[in-house]
Amino acid sequence: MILQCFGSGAVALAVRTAGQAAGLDLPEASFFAALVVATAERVLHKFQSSHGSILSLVGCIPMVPGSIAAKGLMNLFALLRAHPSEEILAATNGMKNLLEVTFTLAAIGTALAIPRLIYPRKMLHLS
Amino acid sequence: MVRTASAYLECWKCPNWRAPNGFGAGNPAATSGRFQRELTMNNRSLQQANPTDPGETRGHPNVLPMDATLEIGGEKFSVERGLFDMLPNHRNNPRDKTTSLPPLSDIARLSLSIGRLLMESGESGRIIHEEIIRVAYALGCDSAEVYCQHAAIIVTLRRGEEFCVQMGKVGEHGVNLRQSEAIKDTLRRVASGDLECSAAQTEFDDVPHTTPSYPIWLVCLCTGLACSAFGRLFGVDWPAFFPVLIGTASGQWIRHALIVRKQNIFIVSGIVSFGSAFLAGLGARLLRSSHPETATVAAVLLLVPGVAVLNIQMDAIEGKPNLAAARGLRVIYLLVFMTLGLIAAQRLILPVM
Repeated sequence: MILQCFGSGAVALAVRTAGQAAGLDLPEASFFAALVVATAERVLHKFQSSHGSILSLVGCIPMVPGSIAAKGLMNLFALLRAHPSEEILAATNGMKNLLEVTFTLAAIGTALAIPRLIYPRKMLHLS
Repeated sequence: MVRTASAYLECWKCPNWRAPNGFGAGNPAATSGRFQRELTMNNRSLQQANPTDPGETRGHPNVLPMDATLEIGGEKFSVERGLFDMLPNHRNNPRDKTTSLPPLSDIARLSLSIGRLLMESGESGRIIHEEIIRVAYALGCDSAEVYCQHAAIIVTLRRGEEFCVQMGKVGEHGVNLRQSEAIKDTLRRVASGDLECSAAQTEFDDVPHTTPSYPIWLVCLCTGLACSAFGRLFGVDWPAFFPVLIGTASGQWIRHALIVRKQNIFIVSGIVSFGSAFLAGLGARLLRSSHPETATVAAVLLLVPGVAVLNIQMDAIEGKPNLAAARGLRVIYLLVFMTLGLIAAQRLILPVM
């Protein structure tokens, strides 16, 4: 399982890096990377199996933009002691980073949900 | 006379069929194609091999001609005389009544244990709902409703005229996918009928103690390697690689030590962030790295709650905004404390810009 998790993360980062090299923004590249991993996991998983899988979730963890979130918050804190001429720049940088984090996380979450919504796993209880 | 397939009792069509292996009752679409094919082939085999023999089952004990009689316990039953009720997997089978269904309160307590353990292991709201409902149905409930909040779970179970509502508290949310898999393995055994309610409760109570975990030194080492690798992705040069590794590994060890002592998770985040960033930045400056600031940022990435963030997205998309909002607020506070620790360390280590 460790090797599968390793591979899932590697595939996700590889697709994201390729997407960014092709000119996509971070949220767009992260969306496609998460979609590829989630689709592969759903397709390769046993058909009609009720067993869940964690591979797509684990594979997307390296794409969570933690450093950008930290930079965004640091820029907001820097706003508190910025010179009057630098306030707008600090605020803009902070908001830009935080918006990028928000859109990236939304993109990853949406991409992870799409394969499961289209092809849900088998439920065992009576319905 | 050769009987046609329609003359055979196909129990999966019976609305009272309590199917093993998850085949749905009264809903052919819910059964697997494989089971339907086997049933059809079995009917044809019975027609061809023993057109007048009602008793051959070939592994499907409830495929019987409609005018068959079955002897159970020395007494003969027919379709007119309650044969349905005597079939092995029929819900009204009196033989099943000798093994009585567990009380609703026990099932509710089991459901809350399952929900609490899954939430503390880092599962999303949808998984928790599905697993609790699955177990409730497997243990004989007619309906189950679950409401998950960040700090509590409410379960409502109904069986005939009985109902039971229970609430259980949830502890600190973490990430332990190995424990989550162990819980789901036990759940499958409960759902398939291999484990009774009381035995399942005992197993779930022992899960936190019996689930194996990696040695702490390995966790620290791997965390350090991951963060130093991220540092390289951010552009950190090689002189800063080992300071980031050592700073992160030390921070992970501190985090483990404080969490075991049940310290506040946000205070822990601030302390670990400061410690990791301080060590990484100090080492980067001593080794004359040209990216000490980036090294400090890379060293605190161990605190980013990746699984929690992704669970927020899943909960929001899958119709659980309250749980998503509560988790989101927790993540924001974690990031704020992480940033405060990072800023404090950078003020000490980095030259004033």
